[in-house]
Amino acid sequence: MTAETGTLPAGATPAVEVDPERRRRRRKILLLLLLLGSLAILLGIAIWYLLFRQPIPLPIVPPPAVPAYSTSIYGAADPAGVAVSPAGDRIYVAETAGDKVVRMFDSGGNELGILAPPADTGSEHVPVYLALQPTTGDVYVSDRPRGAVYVYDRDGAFRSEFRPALAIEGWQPLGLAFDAAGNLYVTDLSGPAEVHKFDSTGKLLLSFGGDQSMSFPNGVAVDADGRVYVTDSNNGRLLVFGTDGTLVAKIGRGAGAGNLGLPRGVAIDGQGRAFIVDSSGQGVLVYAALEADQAQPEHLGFFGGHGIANGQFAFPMGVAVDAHGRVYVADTANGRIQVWSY
Amino acid sequence: MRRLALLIAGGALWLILAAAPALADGGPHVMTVNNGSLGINADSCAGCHRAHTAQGPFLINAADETALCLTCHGAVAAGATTDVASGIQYQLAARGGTPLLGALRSGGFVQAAIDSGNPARVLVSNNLASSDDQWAKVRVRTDISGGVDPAPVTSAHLNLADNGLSAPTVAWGHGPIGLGLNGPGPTVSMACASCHNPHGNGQYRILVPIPDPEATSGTFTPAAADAVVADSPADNPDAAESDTKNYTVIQTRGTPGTLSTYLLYADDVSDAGYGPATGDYWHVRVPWNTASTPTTGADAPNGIPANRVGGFFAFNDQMTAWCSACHTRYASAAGDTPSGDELFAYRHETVGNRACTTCHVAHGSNARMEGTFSSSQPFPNGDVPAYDIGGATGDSRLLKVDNRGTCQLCHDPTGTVANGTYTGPIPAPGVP
Repeated sequence: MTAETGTLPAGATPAVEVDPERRRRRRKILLLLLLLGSLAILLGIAIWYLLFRQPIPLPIVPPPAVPAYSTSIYGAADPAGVAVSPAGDRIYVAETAGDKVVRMFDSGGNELGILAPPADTGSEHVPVYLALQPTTGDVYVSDRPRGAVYVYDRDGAFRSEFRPALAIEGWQPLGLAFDAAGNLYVTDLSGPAEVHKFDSTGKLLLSFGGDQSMSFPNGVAVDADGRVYVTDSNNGRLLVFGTDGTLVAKIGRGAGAGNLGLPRGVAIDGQGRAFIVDSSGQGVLVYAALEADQAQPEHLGFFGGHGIANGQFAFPMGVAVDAHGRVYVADTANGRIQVWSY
Repeated sequence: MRRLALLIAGGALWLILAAAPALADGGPHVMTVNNGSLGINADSCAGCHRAHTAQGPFLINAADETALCLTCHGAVAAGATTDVASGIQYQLAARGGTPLLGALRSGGFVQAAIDSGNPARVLVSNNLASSDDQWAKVRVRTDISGGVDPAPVTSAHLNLADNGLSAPTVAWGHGPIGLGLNGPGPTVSMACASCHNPHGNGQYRILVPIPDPEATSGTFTPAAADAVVADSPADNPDAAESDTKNYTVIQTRGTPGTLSTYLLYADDVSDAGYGPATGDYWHVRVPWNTASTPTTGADAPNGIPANRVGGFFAFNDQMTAWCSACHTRYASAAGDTPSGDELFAYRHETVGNRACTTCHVAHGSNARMEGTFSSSQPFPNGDVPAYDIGGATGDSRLLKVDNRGTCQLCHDPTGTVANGTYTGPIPAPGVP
């Protein structure tokens, strides 16, 4: 057949004509088989995944060793001690210049009121360190010239003066802390410096540290295991005492990383990390939770440095932590409370 | 038995020697520790210095020397018994009562507890003749409860943010006689170590032998020789308890003739049951008494009895010599003799019991200068700083009494007051 004529050439056999309908059917069957095969494979994969599935590995970001600067609270002159409610909604700051009162702020840094002892306690007061009673929220404040611990309710109303049930001669309370059970720990500068543990009635339960020749112990904090951390300030040491008052660990003075210069405030967060303010070192040292067999907690890092910029300190003193991982540091000579957070 | 006795005696001697450092100046200011004579292994160096990462001169670990000192000696007194901000002294050991031992004789840089408005005197001979036997007393300022009650200072040797002062930082009178009207003194930068040796040196109140502030304009020439101010004696009868000595605390009267009851030492004062406000800032005669003979029953403020070498007059002369290392042209042997200096032509004499520290405190004064003449009295360079500190309007020049009442503690220029007349609060006999 030629294109011109449309006829077969002589002697050629005509091609077999395929039924188009049959060809379409065959194509449909093939397509169906392919779909079924795919479905079977997908089903198999799904069954395999469901039977043997593994979590997808994600990149692990290590938690930061030290917190980052967040904000500052102004309004207290030369703040020394600081205490904060677990929620972080009440921040109490001991002001050691100006009016020399305790100022109460909300989490936004707005002043809510002041805490001051009544007039009949004398005119010369210097509030220094603070601690919050864990069950009542009462605020305990040490007063250096009066040698007193004053107690206020959480809203700042004066309640009473805390006195040991049996008077301690020359009682010069300074650092304050509570354990979870509500026992009060006080560093006492009188005589050989000691730490006293009182129950809620003022009964003396234990005195310890007198054999360590402590010099002006400033800060005290209690960890979840009941161990007591004390900054032996003028000796440049942190001493950790067990529940029976025996020394179980310590950090010494020195210029190396993790060593202390003039430690003042100390606080322990929910993870057992210890934050120690080094006043002459112009910052805060962070240590990991103390393991049972450790003679010295592991040093995690340092934050601060001398200066007036955000994140820098000028002779800081007190420190407190809330339940959200925020760290509050009294930046004394800069007249502010710095808030750091993880 | 002899061996045992020797052993006990040796042990006692060892205990005394071992205790020696603790009986010295205390804190990081122990001379024998810092000079290495007790062993070259001092830990205290690391408290304030860094060998390679120091932030300030002298390798101190702070950019601000004064702020470093105030870390311990500030209003919190978190690391020392001496609070030079508020001008108060704390007890070192358990003694009962409040932790306050008394007021600092030098006052504080932010507050001082001088009862500047209520001094006392008894005239002995009007001071019109040659005698100067006036007995004066400036008490410790107290509140209604009898406790020490510091008030904001109206002059201080340091202008600090906390005291709000802005006096010209001039070393008034420094330099030789003859500098004239243009030479009231160079301006200087002061810090604690301009006057004190933080390492201890055996001097009274660890004063440096040669004060040497840094000149910021003009010329400051350090003294050529040491100004020695003898410290209290080492053989104090109560040496075992006298680790705080009496540098900084009030001095009170005891029993004349019995050293240990002269209450020369901090612990003596406390042991005797005197309250923290029973002090005297004046010290024309120390302790307060009415003895007519200056050397009888009068001890120097550094605790050295008058009849010993380096006693009362020698001590006052030493203090005047020390202050004059900076305020050179203020030193005067006779008030009625012209000096030859055009500006400081006549000067109140500064000899005997007219020492610099008779009228002035070293750190700061809360005396109020509100009178017409006192509030506007210019400095030698003509400046008249005015303050609004608790109602006070003038610079108190570190004086201990309001306005110029200081003059009247010794002088009755009218000659109308009978000898033996008390003015002001009358102390009961034997009570400081």
